[in-house]
Amino acid sequence: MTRWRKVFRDLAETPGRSALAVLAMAAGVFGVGAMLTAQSILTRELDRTWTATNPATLILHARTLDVDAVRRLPGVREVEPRPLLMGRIRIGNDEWLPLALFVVRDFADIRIDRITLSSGAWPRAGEIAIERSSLSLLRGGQRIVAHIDGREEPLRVSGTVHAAGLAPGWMDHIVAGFVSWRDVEDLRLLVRSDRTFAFPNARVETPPSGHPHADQMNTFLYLLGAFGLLTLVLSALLVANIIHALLANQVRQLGVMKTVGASTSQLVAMSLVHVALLAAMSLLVAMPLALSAGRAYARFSASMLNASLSSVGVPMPVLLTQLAVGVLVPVAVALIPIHRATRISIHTALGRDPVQRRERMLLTTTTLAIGGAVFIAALNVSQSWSKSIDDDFRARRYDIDVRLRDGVGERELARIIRTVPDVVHVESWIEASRDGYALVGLDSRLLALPLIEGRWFAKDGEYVINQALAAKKPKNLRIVGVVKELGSGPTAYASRATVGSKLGTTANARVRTRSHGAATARDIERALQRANLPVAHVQRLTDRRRAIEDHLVIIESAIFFAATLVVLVGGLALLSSLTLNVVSRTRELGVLSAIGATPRIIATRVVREGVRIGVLSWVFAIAVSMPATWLMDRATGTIFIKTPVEFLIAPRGIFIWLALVVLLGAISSFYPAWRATRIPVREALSYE
Amino acid sequence: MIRLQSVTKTYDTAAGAFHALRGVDLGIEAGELVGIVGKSGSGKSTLLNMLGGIDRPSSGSVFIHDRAIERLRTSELASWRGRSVGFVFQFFQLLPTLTALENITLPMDFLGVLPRKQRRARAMELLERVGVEAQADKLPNALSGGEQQRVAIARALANDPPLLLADEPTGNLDSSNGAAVFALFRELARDGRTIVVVTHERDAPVDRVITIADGRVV
Repeated sequence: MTRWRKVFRDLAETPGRSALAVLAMAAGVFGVGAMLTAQSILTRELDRTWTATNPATLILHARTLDVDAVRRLPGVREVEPRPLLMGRIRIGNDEWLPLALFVVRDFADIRIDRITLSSGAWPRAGEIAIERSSLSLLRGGQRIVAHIDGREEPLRVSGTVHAAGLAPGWMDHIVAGFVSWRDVEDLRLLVRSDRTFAFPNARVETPPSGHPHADQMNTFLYLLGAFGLLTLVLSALLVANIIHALLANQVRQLGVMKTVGASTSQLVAMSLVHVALLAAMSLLVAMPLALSAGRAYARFSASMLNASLSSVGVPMPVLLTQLAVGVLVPVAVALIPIHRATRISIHTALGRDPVQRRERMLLTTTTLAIGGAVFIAALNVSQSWSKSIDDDFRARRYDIDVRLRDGVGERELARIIRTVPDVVHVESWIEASRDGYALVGLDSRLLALPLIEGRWFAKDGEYVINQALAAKKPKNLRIVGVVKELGSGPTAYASRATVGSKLGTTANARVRTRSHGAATARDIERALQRANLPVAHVQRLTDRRRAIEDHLVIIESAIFFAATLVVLVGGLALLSSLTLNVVSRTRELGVLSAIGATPRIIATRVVREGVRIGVLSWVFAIAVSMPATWLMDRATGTIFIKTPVEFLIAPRGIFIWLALVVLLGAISSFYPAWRATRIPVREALSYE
Repeated sequence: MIRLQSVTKTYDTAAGAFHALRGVDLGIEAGELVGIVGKSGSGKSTLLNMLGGIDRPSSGSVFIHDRAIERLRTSELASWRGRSVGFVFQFFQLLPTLTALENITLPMDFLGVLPRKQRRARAMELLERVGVEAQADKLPNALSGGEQQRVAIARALANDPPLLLADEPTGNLDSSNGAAVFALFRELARDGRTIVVVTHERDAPVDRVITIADGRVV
């Protein structure tokens, strides 16, 4: 039928305009698709990876334990001894990293907290298999020297394993290794059970009911979801923009078709098919790209999180969402302008210039403002996290954290550290492990963590807890304040006298040095070794900072991924709508030419308008970015560190976006304006 | 065939109310070729729009075949217009992405007046009648102004309407093409079609000239 031929012909006869519309629509689908693809794969696979390890539901710690007796308890399904030796591993001259050494009874029959062999062979006596995510911490070599129970032990690396239930070693800065069975002092029994129970002479630990980095992963997945949603809004606005521009160019023809007998419903159908065809083409372009980008990003994130992707299959709802976004969103947002354009009176359509320019410019400005807001908010949130790290770092007025394995006279420890020349100040802290939290006793000048509520403890018997412990709502502690800290598990702080009366404390020290250098840490290490003290770790604050930053890499990557997509989508929005706008004004530019405007005057005028829209949208973007930032600061902080991160504005984001919109505004309007000035005046005046 | 009773049309503009028509009474018989003349802004195009149902009067009535068309609903009006009125414009208004032939089959498609297979043949007949059958498969921008206007007239005849309305149809043509268009109108009127032409040419070859000034018939 002729009318459908017209629809196809319109698409084909204006390839530039159609391509721009397809590209703009595709950008939206791509943004949403890539985000949702990555999010759906990771949500499924991270959970699957962790569940596949058959994680322990209880861990029993005891000197000796009747394993069969535990196995016979009601509700117990599996038990497996898996002692854990905490030691250190030498990575250089007097440079050590914490080592978590898991002792496995039978590598051929691992039932709980499963691991898989990634390369090489299972370790035999005198050998160690390194967890693959720790590998980058070691500086190569087939032999390592471990320090376990005060003894140096050379071990040959037999291969690498994947322990999906462990936090990535490179992130926690802890080397995880697996060794074959040996006699140990403390038994650790992994249990899978339907219920919890008490067992005589054993401490029962309830491991977290998810991956150790579940909070971090949830923050990251939340960000992907939130940015996915924002990209969806952005893409809908972008499509509305494009359709407005396309229809503005069709209004006269719609009027002509009405005069030759077309009914409104016929015109609506033609316009909708026009939009649907463009949408279908955009899907063909965007869906495969979104799939590839989403999968690539999922692979990258999985490797960062030490997870394996058993499948990169995308669930049907995600594909259907993309289809819906790709077809339904354009059709839905097209309905109103189509309805309006087809109802415009013939008189108006054929007569006055029917282009509703102000409305379209408002739409373009809004689209860009939303894009800009997402971009600025992403950089604000990133800045807030950096600031949180800075604050945490500044709150610790020491350079080196020294911990011992056993309780040793703290005076002795401080005395030895003081012998190192670069040391300015040493403070002894004591630490004890309680059920689900660490208890730290200090009378400190070296710790000033920011208070979220209440005050610092003033007398014995008062406790200050960090936000991670506050989230657990601890009982039986006289809490006078809550502090915010990064990179620590649930912790309670009290005076040394308060903690000193508790059982099982170990001494450690915080050291302030003159040079803040790595050499002092090595000197302290050597001094303690000479004195035969059981060092658990000597950690520089800068290493701690790096560990915290490494935990945030994945979140930063989500923010960067989203910001890049927004720049792409927003850039296309401006490019397409300004181009289409200038094209639709060809006649007006022809008039300007006819009354003597030079191409230069015309181009300057149009480019100035493009830049003006960019700048206007930038002002709105800053306004919209504020509540968006506040929400994301709250959400990401609460999920990850159990407290919102501080609201901050990153001038960097604001100015980068300004530069981008000005540049894009100028580029997108310059080319069509330049082209318009090349069209002979007679043609421009009769342009439809 | 056409009867206008006290038709007024007022537009609200930024400068205030603009009275395009002020109580026009008029009658046109079937088969008449009528010219409406007047200065720019006199109201002649508004009058034509009233006759074609493109615009509705602010007051008064437009009867065509004793039917008050301003009372028709928008959809009824569209369908009536498609069957009863053919339009010819000064700037031709051919759809740029359709060939000459397709521009003529489009109105038939919208109204479904003929079986699909016969539409092409009828469009060819019409093109032959206006003398541009050789241009059937060309796009409008490949045709001269005179050829485009002939195709536009053929399109106006596509659904065989009894009434043809032309707004300055020769305004964009040279004198020989202009004369040819009027000759065509004369021929069509002879077949019994009513033709109303808005024109600047006071000596246009028409049966009757209606002069409009300041929204009134004088």
